[in-house]
Amino acid sequence: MSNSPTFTNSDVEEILRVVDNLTDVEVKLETAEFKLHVRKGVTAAITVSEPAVSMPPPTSAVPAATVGNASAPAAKVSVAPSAASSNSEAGTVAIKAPMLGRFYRAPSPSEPAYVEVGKRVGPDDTVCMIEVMKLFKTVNAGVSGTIVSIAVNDGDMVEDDQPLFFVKPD
Amino acid sequence: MTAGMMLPIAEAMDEAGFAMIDFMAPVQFDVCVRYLKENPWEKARLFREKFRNTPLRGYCRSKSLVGFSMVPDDIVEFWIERLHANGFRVVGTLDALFDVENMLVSVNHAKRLGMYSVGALVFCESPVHTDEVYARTAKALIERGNVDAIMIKDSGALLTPDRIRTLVPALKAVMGGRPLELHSHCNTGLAPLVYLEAIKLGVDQLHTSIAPLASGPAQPSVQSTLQNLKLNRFDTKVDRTKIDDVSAYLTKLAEQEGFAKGAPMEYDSFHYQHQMPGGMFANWKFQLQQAGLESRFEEILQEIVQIRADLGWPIMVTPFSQIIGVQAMLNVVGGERYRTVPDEVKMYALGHFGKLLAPVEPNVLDRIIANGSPKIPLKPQPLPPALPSLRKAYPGADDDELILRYMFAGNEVNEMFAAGPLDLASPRFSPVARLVQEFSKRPQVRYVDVQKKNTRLVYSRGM
Repeated sequence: MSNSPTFTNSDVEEILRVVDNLTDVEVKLETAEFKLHVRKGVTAAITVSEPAVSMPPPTSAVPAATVGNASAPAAKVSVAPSAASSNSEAGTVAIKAPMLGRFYRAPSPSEPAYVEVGKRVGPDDTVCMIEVMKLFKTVNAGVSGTIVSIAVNDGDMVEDDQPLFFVKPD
Repeated sequence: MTAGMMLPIAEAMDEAGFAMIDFMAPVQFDVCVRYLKENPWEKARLFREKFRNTPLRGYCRSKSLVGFSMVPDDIVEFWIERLHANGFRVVGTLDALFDVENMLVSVNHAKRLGMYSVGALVFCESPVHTDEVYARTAKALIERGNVDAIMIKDSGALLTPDRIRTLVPALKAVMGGRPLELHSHCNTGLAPLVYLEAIKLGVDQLHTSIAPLASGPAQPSVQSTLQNLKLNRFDTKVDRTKIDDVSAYLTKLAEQEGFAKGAPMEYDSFHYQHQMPGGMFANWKFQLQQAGLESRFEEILQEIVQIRADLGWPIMVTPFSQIIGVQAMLNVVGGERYRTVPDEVKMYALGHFGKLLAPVEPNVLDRIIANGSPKIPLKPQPLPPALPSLRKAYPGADDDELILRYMFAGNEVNEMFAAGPLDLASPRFSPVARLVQEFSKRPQVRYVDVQKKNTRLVYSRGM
């Protein structure tokens, strides 16, 4: 069906590959047989309309699992400094991650967080969920007391045993 | 594939003489809403008009829609009702635990609406998945659900010519003349042979795909299946010339879009050990690499085998493949088996997904109960109806929107609606036309001047 003698489908792929790898530049490429001049800039128009379907994710990005909000365990995450320092806060105990995974403070994005700083918890109260490869683990406080700090941001990756909350026990 | 990509072959597909077209399972709804930003119901109605001769088929997995959680019975019935209202005439129901109670909710509702109901039995090779279990389940679905047909659904590509020789007669013996369908995948290269053997044994309907969207982890191709049937003196109503038209189009489309074309895969003994579905295997390896665990991949696969034995041989199919895989990783990485137990594992072990085919090892069950979340009830409870509160939450929404609201996050549905009606423009096959189309999808591309030999294209935005 294609009646174009010069541009081929593989040329199209090649040109798009070059264009997609550019950000905010002007490039001129010239060989004996081929000339390309591209201007690509971040303008007011950068919205979400990039074709999302068949584009492979950038390789260096977050370990995005293939399907939506599914997430993979991150590469070794070191314990956040803030958590380490608050660990030494006198008179508090840590609620730690029972497994590696992603830390979620609420049962779903549209619902309120299980706990906030200042909230009193009992041992069987749920404080967060940890998600690993689309499976969830409900985490209970395991202690009675008051939440004094939250050591991890919602949606962050945590290591097994990493402190998540600090509680001042009753 | 977008509606625009599908449209040019709709007529040929409809005239090819297929008994039915597997149109959309919940996973295709997922792709439509979240990735293609297409309203799946609008798409179904559009193609229902195009497919005048061939019934469309949908699916219901256990009492689930998308994701791993079970949904209440009123939502299962609502799903079947929306499939029916949007032009689906056939519904396949499966349950990886063979829990007939789970399956009867959608089977009975489909029958009430006058749909053709297929009881799908997921195939698995294990000490508990005997021919007797398959026959017993088929019999129960026929007697209690009056299903119109039975389907062997070999999602894991585990069937062999040897096993099909005992399985088909065992099923046929209890089916009272109802049609038997076979659906397999080509991950180990055996499916084309299994299909041929199955037809000799009296299987009535084969699930195939049109190459290049066949072979590999997909179904055997219609083309080679027709050829093999003909050489063995079996006749079909399929029109090969229509298939060739569709195939030529798909080949061109795959080349243009840079999509992989299905190629035969080699026989692989290891596949029968880990039994991981093709898609999950690659995904899983990638995830473990990201976690710095690639050196323990073999160990984790061995643990999968052990966990399946512990848990009464769940089939490696959604959601159990993921549940078992994650527990295996936690067991290996944590250095102690079942110290950390995700909620879904405890729910499985206690029967929240359905009645188990074989009991969980008692000492494993003890550890799962002790170390899993205490919030999970020891006895599964029926889920309260969800439709009334759903209607209250979205007073202006019609029923098609309501079920999407139930299945997907709010912003995902909003974004889908914001994307507007289906884009029915056919793909551009001229390279120049395609370049322009692709540039126009990239708002940051302001200006392009490209020249090869004596052809020059200048593209400029916002002049």
